[in-house]
Amino acid sequence: MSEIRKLIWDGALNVQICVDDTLVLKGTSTTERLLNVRIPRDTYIVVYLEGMLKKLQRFLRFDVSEVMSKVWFECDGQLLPWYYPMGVLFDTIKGSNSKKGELASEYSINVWKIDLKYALSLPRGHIPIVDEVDQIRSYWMHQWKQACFILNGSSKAMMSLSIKEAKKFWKSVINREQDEFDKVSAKILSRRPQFIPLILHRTNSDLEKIQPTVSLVNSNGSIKKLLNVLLEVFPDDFTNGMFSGCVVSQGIVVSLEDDMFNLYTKLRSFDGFLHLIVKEIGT
Amino acid sequence: MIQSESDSDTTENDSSVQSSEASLRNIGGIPARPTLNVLSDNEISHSFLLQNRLHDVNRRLSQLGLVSEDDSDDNKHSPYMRSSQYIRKVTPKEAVPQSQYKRVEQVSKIQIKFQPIGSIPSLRPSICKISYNQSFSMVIMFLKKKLNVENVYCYVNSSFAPSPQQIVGDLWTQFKVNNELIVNYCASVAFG
Repeated sequence: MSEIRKLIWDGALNVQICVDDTLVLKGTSTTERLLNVRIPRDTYIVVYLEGMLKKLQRFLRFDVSEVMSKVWFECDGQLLPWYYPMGVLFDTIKGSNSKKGELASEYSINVWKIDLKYALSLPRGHIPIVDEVDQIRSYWMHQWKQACFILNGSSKAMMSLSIKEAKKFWKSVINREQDEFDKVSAKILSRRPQFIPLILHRTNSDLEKIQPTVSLVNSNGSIKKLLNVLLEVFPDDFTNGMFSGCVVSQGIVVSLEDDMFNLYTKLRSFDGFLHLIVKEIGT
Repeated sequence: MIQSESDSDTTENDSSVQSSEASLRNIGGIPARPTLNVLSDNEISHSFLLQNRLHDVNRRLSQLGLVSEDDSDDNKHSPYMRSSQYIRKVTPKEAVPQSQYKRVEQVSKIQIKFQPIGSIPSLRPSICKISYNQSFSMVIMFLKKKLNVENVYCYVNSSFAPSPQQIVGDLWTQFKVNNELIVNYCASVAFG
């Protein structure tokens, strides 16, 4: 189990950021607008925004602080909502563009090309960064509070963290310190949770997100498997008793036979939620 | 659209989520800065190895951990195809006659109970109805308009601030108290 958690924690994506030409000085070449970075799967892309802009500062038309609230990320013209983990964005957005049989090769592509866009009017669905990293930290803490509420029936465990522990918790994400992260998150997680914090991401045209209530057991007392959840949430996706899709988490196809608590324990994200990407076969 | 219990005042269908930024601001804390891992061309080619390794480990563990005591019989006869893990036939035992989730979704409107924190005015009436499928940003917009304030900080069950993109119906399903979603609101940060 610890080996899987370590692999999840260390998982990263190679990303090539291409900066919008309206953001750079005239005469800046295409290659000067590119930045190759490695971003952990288990983080928000926007955590690295300031660093990216600073790296390209000499080509920018504005100060970094001026543009922070007016930029966003896109892939093939589609907004990347920063408030989902990086790996979830990749599995949802990039995965949805691949054709049948290309899933494996999708993960062999070395670099994910992302555009950094700039405009005064922001696209629908984007939450502007107005308070730099503190805003991201605050958002993440509230995600954990929500996860804590779902797990334990209250956010008490999260709210009981000392200021020092809460700071250490966020720092562990920033500095990629898994041991510190595990120490603090162990105080929030339960061995016998009431419900599983789960977000289902569909790769349909709307990129629908569903946050169902998932208990550990079915009404007949049997252990709740992923298959049971899919039957409850997407009954129309079953044809003659066969599920017409596949489920991906942390970049890997998961078994419908896995029980939900096992999946949560192994594959949960750094925000306390288990993110499952439900893909249609053929996409 | 949000409707008060006693009137039919509706909010504008404002597409912007920018206004909800206030609910995401922080009360302060550590301005920790992440280290940006800029790659050279040579480094880029190595990262997919980790992904492949993760694939292998998970596949092996999935295979080992599939059969539990209480479902081993089912699995013996299961038409589950291990080579393509996502194709699997549902046994009659597992089939549900009607989706529990769909049943909940059929509730077209849900109730929200607004509770003020601190000196911010109370909302009259305090209970409103909203469509199940609306995002939480609509609730924030509604409150700002009703209270005529620039910023409002919203919390569910005096605990957490939901993401503006979250579906109100999902929040209601998970956190309702007496069939009402309790939304606490404040003019400043109440729960950091």
